[in-house]
Amino acid sequence: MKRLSDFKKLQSGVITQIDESCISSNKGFIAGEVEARLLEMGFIEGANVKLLHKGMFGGDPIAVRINNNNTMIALRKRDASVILTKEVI
Amino acid sequence: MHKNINIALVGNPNCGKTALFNALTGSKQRVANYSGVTIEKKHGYFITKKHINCTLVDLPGTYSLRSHSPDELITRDVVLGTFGEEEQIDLILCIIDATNLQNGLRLVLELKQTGKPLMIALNMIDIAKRRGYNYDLQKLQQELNCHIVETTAIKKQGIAELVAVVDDLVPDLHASTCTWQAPDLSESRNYHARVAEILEDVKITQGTPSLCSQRIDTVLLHPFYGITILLAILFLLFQAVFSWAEVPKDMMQSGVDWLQAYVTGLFPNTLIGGLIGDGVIAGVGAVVVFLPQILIISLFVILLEDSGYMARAAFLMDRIMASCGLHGKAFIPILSSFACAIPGIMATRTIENRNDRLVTILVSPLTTCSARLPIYTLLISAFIPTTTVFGLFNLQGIVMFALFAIGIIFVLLVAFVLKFFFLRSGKQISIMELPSYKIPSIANVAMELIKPAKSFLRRAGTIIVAIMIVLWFLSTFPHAPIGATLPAIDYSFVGKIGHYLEFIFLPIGFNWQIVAALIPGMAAREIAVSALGTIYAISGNEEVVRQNLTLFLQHSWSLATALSLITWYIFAPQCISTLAVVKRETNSYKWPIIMFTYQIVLAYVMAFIVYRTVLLLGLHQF
Repeated sequence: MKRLSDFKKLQSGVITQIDESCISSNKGFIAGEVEARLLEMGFIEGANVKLLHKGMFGGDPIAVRINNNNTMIALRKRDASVILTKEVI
Repeated sequence: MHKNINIALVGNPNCGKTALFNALTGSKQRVANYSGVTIEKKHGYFITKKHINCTLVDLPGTYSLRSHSPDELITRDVVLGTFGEEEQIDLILCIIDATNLQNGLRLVLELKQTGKPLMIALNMIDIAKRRGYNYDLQKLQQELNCHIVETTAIKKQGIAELVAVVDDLVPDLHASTCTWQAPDLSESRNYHARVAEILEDVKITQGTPSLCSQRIDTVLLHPFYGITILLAILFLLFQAVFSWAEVPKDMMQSGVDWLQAYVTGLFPNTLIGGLIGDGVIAGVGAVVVFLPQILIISLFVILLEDSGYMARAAFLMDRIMASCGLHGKAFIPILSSFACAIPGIMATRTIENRNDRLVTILVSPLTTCSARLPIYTLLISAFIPTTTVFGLFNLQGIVMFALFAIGIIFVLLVAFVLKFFFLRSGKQISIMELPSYKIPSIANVAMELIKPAKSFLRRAGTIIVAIMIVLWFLSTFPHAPIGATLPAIDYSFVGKIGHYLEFIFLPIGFNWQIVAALIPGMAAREIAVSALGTIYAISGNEEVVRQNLTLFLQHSWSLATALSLITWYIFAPQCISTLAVVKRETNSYKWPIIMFTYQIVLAYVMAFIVYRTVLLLGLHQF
């Protein structure tokens, strides 16, 4: 079990769960919003994710490829921390 | 058979929607605004072989009909036909990226729920085939129960086939009942599951992402080289704007001068000659010569956007933007604001959170837009020596760069203050696509480049002509009394207004001529230079043409006044069009008033500090 936000460069994994609870306790988030946005962009249980690039400051934001798609998705580590993965076997 | 139908063009961002819109409608496009709201309404027209008049409505890109930004709200309302007086949509044309069926099909499934007739353009099919994304198209059509046309919009491939399908569909366009509801989390997952089933059935083979793009990204998204290259690109942009644009600009300037002399010569010593020659031609000419710079900066922005680099720039800048509370996406509106704050403010629509969007709108006029260049150029060449510093840099160039830097610093600073004291917003998810790199199509770039040029010239031809005429009247009438000792302009309305307001601006070193020039300069910054020309040309005994204005100012203003005026121009809300756009975009008078107030206070305070500091240091003697 590893959060997408903790990935090293070029590490990949399969999404097991998208769990908003670890950040939505922070004030200001509309419940369900982060999860809904991630789902719409293609982060879904069972999808393969691979971290390709990290930003200059603190490795934030990150660029991720889902299911070998032609486009990458850029997101902030804070948002990526709700995506739980397991290692690909 | 003659028939008119409305087609809505819907799709994810970055799937080539604009290219398809341009390919289908060519130059038959019209941009207006949706009534009541502020979103740009882009309509285009085409006629099919069977003489059906099609109105194509380009809708903002979206991933779902569930909306969270003003843009996405429009897409939903127009598609559902719940948008007030807008006409009902007869057919939805959904464009999807053939290399990313997952997100595209998810949207298609939602669109099917609306009950409207639907057809699909499977775009970027050339890239998909090259990269090995294969599937059974027939099967996909069956699964989705709608027509699918393979297109490569950027090369205009598949367009004729697409239009032919419209012809086939038109005799039988019926909308069934709409069963769409905003999907909750479990429904959102169900859509994904259904897409997965479909992809299984059509035996998709997932291709490999563009290797070339990946290689480019290892450099362009590199933590160190990436930022370096971004800065180099920005530097190149400024270089292009300030030195390459000079050649066409000088040519246009000589054209304007010749025309002015010619027209004035036609009506020697008459009021009408003065009005047309000195008022209109000189005034409008002073603005129109900035067209090359606007074209260059727009070209850069379009090329960066179309090639896919703009999203990378936003990625690289995200952390810096985040540090002052802005969204990574705010980088694009702010970069566009270097050309003009108006397209910049309109580009903020992609920012989902209302407060984040307001902050970006409020700070974008602080970027150094091209309309500030005339006054900067004039004052720099008049007051800053052309000394070479460190054996390499020109002092004038350094000052110009510093002015840009100050603009950017204050964008970030003001954003920070607004964000953390006034417009706090809840934490926002910040997520965007980084599409693979593409070579921009020349035809498409040309079409997109014409738009800012057109709106700039339209502005010069309408508002600026009107202001120049008014200014000419105000500075010509009433005439000086016979036997007057002071220059004629002292007696005119402009002189009176300038004198009347002078006391407010004396503490920051402005004389009444500057104050008088600032008044028409409120309408558009670039007018201030020609206004100063008009004011001094009239007030001087000998004919002071604009080329001599530089020389003239050196003798009549102190360095402190010049620097104070430059500072004023960094911050002051000298642009009514910007305020009008903010009113339109926020749909209230509150925000333009707030923007005007904070800018004018900031401008006054900063100009005061600069003026007093220069005086204290005794630099005014130089």
